[in-house]
Amino acid sequence: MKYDALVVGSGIGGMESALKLGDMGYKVLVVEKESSVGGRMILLSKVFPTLDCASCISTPKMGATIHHPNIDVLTYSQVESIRSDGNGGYHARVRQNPKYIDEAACTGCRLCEMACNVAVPDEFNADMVSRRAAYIAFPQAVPKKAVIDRAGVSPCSYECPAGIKAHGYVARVRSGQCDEAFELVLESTPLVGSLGRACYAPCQDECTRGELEGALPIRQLKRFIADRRYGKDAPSNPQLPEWNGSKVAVVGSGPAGLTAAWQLARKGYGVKIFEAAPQPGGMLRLGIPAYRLPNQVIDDDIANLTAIGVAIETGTKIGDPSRLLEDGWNAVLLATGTHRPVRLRVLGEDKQGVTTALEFLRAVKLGEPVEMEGKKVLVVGGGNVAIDAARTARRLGAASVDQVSLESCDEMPAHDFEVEEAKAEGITLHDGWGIDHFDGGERVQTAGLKRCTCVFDPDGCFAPEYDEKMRKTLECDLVIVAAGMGADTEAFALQTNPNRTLKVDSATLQTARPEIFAAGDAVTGPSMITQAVGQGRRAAFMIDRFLEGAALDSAGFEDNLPRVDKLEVLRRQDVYDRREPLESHAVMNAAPVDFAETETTLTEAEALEATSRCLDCGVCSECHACVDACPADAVDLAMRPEEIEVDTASVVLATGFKLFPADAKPEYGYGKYANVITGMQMDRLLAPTRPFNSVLRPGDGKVPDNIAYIMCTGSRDDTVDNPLCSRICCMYSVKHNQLVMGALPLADVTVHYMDVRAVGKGYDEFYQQAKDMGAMFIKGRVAKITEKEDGNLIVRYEDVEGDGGVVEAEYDMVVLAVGVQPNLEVAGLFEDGALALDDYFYVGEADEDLDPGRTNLPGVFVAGAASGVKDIPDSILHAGAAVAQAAAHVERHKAMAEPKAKVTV
Amino acid sequence: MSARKIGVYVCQCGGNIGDYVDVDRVVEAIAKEPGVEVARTAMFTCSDSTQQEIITDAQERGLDGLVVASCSPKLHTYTFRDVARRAGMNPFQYTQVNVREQCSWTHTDDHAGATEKALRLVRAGVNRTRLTDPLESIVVETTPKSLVVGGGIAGLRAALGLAEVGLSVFLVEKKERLGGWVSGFKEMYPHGRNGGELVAGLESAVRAHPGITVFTNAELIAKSGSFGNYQATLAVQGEQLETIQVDVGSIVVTTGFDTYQPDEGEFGFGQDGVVTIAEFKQMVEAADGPLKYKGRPVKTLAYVYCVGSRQPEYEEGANTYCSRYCCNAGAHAALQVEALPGKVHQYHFYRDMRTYGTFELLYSEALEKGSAYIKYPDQEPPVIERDQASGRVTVTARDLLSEGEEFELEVDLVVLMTGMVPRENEGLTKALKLPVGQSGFFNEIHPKLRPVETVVDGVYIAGCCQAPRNLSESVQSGLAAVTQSAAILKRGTAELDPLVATVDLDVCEWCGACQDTCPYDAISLDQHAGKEVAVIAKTACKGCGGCVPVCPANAIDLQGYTDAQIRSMIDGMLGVSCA
Amino acid sequence: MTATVTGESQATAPRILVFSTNNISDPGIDLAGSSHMHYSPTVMVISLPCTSGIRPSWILYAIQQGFDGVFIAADGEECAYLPDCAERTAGVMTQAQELLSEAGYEPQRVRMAAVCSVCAEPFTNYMHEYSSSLAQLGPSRKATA
Repeated sequence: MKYDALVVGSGIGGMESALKLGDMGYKVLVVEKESSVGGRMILLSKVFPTLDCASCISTPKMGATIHHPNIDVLTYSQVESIRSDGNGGYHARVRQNPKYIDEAACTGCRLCEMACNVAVPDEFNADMVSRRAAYIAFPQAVPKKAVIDRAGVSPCSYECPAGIKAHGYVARVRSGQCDEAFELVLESTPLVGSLGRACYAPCQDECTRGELEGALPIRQLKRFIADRRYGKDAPSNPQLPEWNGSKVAVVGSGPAGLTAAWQLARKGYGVKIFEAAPQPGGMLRLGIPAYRLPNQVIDDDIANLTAIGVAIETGTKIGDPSRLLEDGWNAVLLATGTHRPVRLRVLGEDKQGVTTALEFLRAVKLGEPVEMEGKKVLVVGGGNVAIDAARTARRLGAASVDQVSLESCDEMPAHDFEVEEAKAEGITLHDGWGIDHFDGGERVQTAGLKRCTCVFDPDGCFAPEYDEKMRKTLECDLVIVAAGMGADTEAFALQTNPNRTLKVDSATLQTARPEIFAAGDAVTGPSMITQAVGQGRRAAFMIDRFLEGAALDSAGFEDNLPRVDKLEVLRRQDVYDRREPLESHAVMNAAPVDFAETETTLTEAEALEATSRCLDCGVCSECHACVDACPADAVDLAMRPEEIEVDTASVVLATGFKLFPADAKPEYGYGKYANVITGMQMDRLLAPTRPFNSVLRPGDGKVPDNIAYIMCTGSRDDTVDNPLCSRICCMYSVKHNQLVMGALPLADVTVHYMDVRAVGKGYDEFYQQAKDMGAMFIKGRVAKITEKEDGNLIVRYEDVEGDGGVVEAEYDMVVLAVGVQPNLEVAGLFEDGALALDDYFYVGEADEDLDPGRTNLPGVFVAGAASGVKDIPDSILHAGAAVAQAAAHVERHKAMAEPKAKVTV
Repeated sequence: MSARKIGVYVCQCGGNIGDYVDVDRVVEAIAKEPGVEVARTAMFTCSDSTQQEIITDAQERGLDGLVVASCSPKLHTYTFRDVARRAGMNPFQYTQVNVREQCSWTHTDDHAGATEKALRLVRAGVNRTRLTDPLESIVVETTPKSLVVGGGIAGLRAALGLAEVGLSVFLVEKKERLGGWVSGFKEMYPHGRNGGELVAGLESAVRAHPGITVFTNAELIAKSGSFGNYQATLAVQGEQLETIQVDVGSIVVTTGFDTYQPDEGEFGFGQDGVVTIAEFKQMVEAADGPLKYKGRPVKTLAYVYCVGSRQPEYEEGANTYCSRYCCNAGAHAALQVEALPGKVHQYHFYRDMRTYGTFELLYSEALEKGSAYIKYPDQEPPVIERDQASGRVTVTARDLLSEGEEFELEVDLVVLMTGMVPRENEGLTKALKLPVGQSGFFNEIHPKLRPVETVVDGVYIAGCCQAPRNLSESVQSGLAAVTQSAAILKRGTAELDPLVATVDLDVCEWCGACQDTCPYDAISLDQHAGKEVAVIAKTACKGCGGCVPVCPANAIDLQGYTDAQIRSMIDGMLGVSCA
Repeated sequence: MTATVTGESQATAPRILVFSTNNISDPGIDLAGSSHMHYSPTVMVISLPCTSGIRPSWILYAIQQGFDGVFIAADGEECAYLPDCAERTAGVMTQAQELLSEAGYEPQRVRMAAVCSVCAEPFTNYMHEYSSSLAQLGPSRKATA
């Protein structure tokens, strides 16, 4: 794109520059980082010295800027770099940040905003109240279009291998929308209840709240929503998707198979699952003991699928999957898991009484008779399955349960909490020991153990080493070996990996035979349920694309934003409410006798309390409430930033200023004392679009009747490295004085000032008017502010005009007339730091006297407060000066580009 | 009338309107109104598909009027004007009816009421549309030339700026020489540059530029014509007085200021040992050794601030304003004195030290270098007396910074920090009908919206004729006036909104009331069918309608808001209910 | 769709015609809507460039045709057209009151207040207050039952 002028920033200076250049007939591009044009002025209440309404003055200009035929405006965009094009012009790279809203479709109705479940501090109200993640910046925004604020993907959601929007359902629960939360999980997988119990919850490991008093119980919240849903008398009536004419066979009904079947069925495929076991569920059913995952929950989860028409045929073992293709299935997914136990390969392993954990747990879960009463049980293995076996044996009445693990307690693959729970249930752990042999007659009677000194070699491969001299013997009637599991894939006649898992393309999950896909543990080897769910989801996505005839790439799958930086999240909120850690829901019994669940479900109160702790790391939680609410289907979370290349003859920098951060003067207590606020906050309190209905002090909502202003906060002050006067603070404070006295006729207003700098047209008269209305002015710098118990503030100041000495005065609210700082972002726009700044880091003017607004770079101009603090009228005049010169530059630039044509005449 | 073919489209806006207003019923009822050719509902009227549907309807049915009932006109007026244009309709024959912000959203508690109101509003819109005329934007050819009145620093820079954007410039200076005040200064704050040299550089650039014609000893004495095309009459004093007529598109007034002349005895003025800052500045800049006054060494010096500025309101003809530059000038003068050989004790008697922005650095430096500051009470100005016998001057004042203690200081010289006052310019003010503000400086239309524009279109004010300013600020406003001029002149034509006032010449019985009421000078006397009538210059009219109620004969209408249209809208809002 | 009437009764709520200005007061009235503030649906708005351009006869006409009151939502100091806008509009109002009185209507049937672009709440309050004072005054529609 080619422009005559690029205007950076759309505050009053930027708008003025753009409008005038546009009127002259030049093509102008305005780049604004916020979602609305208008800059800071539109946020003010009224403006000095005429006290006209800032909105009434700004909005017509904002509308004119957006609709001007010669002006293009990119809002929510940033200029990333500007460099000379070598021909007197400039080349700029602009990044248009995604609004996640189709601007053409959005009608500005705010239904998304009202539906949004995330509240964050409202920067447009000086952080005094909250706004939603989906929002329109302020009522007079131009364009009046919504934006969804997404800082990235929250760590919990990002870490979920199943692609579940963890933050999303947490936010939904927080708003009491449990059904919607359940539906959100269903977008990924039907296994809401199972995951709510048996998932190892990598989300929680990454929860930013874990850096404070503890992670949110994200898994238990999922259980909470599942239990509420399944507990309902009338199950929801799902809409049956219309059949799209294709059929997919899924082999295996574990987490991967069920999830893939669910996803495919929802897309309209005819899906049937073939399961070798007598009941569906795979490892959920056969591997996880009922005290962790009751069968009823698995049944409820599976009912989600059957309710939308997925057929499940149990007791059918599939051999060669190409048979299914011959039978008319358009595609096959193999998700058969890892049901082949790994052997220990030690002497005596074949004796009676030695079994595998898989066989043992499966028998128990399927209700087959298992003789356990009074037996001395030895479990071999250090993983979760070993723990499950040990604890199951304990529940079945074993006289004793000993568990032998090669790894030491710290290294065991089982989760710490499981090891702890196992110990609590009376299981004796022999960590750091390996099995040498089993002894006895036909039946096993003892196990010979030897000390394991090292489990893995330096490359991390399993290569145990033993101290052959250290040995011990354990008596046992029954040995349960949990030494791992492998895939059982021989019958499929497909290519396999050395460990017998199926060989697939890791991205597409397609086997060498295009119609056959494979997913889950049968591909990855033994892993977590949620991993398998993720594989199932991916497989369904790819199968769909395959059958649609589309390219098999991952473009539309898990197109996540980058993960949010946790430190950034922690930095974002300077004050946290520190809370007590949540109570555990594990019910421990030293001698468990049945398979009752060892964890109870959260109460509603607990669920709400837990969700209220969420820090909303990604800001948008991806809960999809806005998607549901938008009548115009304008929400598009798949939007991504766009880079736009721009050629321009000139650049006008109208990047404005920053306000002095009031907490940089700690002696005034801003951020610590609730009733010390900044001038900008007071402006918002006074504005007609104010956050509260009146001027009140934030600490307790009391209407103040004794307000102090502290002038020169952050200005004329070497202690904060700013010797300059900020020019605007005197006048905005005088304006406040008048407005406050109008709003609160009984309130006293006192100004602690150094010099009142009322230098503009009509300004001194305005100042006199405030004095006449009753504002008190006390000369002298304020040394310190302290807070009383009732929230009132004691201001210590030097009484220069009175009797001298240090005096204290009490106020119920203090307004810090914060000054102005340069906006340093502007310097970085130019490559190689080519743009010269002045001594105080404002954009430098090469000849302020005769060419105000001209920078050191030819064709680059600065308009308004970016060149040094200015009030509104001076900013507009300064912009006018910059524009006159920018126009002259564009004329010269055009003349330079043209002469060749003339020469030939 | 019913020959009109109007298309009416009522938006559901998802559910934003449709959930509260029964749009089907509105459409059903409105379809029966005379002139309505087609009435439809749409889920989103602003969507591409509905826009296309409107265009198709317009082309197939030959629509000549469009009513869209959806959201606020602030959001989609431009969208649907464009749709009308693309559909072959006149954009000004479209009416936006606000049934969202001003109907469905306000009456979410009353569906029947909202539906009824929507019908009434749409009917008013249809009625209004039925009375629309096709209007075209007013295109004015503008003269790409500009006249700058005043050859001080602001005028010089403005002239150069205008020429640099490609406009021809006439620069008129009353005096013999260009350069104004600045040409007389040797060192100017804050960058220490020589005013004479600055002016000389600018002047040679101005004189060298082929697009600029300079008239010195010249004045603007008359102006006629209208927006974009003024004829200005200049009186030029050469060997003999000559009048010259120039055609210009805009006029930039930069006639500058005068310094305040204290009354005899005011702050001791008129006595030996009391000078104004202007005199003092010359003295300091002429000094080639230690500071001397009338040959006497100056060892102790007092500056008295706010002389002729910030005067109390109750005084007759008081200058209540702050002159903005004096505090900075005082600090700067003190530093210039510091730079001279010999120690001078400098005392500043001030009220508020208004060294705003970066000028604070001047003040801190003056303090650092030993200047003493005494803050006198607003109501008790320092008393300056000269002892005739000894010739010593004393300054007596209370110092608020020392617990209000009275202070008597014997000094060698008192410098009165005299403020700026507006320059007497009656002739120009009359010729251009320039508005003068309370303080006597020229007045802009709006300090924020239009800071260099006056109510006279194309006539701009800049520099110190508008308000006290320093060098850079004067130049800024001069260049801002360049920008304004270029914004209307650069393209050679200006496109104006056709929604302006019109006079029914048959009805008008010239009385002059409308002319008197128009601040834009848009109305003038003319002849029509043998009688005197008012005519409105479309190009000068701002379309405010302020003249409409003033006409005793009701001869004036504002396009788009005519008497007939407003009455028809009132009818549409009342009438038979659909409920 | 089922329409429900829960607001003020259609039959008795006074009909108010509001004159607003395109740039200043109409956006304020819009904001009342965007903020979902409620007033009676018998309030209807005609927007003009500037309230100084209202013909007093329109006000009389509106009352004669069946409006119970006319409310002028004038610009405050912000009018971009006429610096003496408020004064002029007050003049229009005075003339309208005279017209009303001559025609036998109460002069209270026209009212004026400054409404700026963010005056959503003040506008809503004005409508409530004006509605109730007009209700006390009774309907202007003399002929209708």
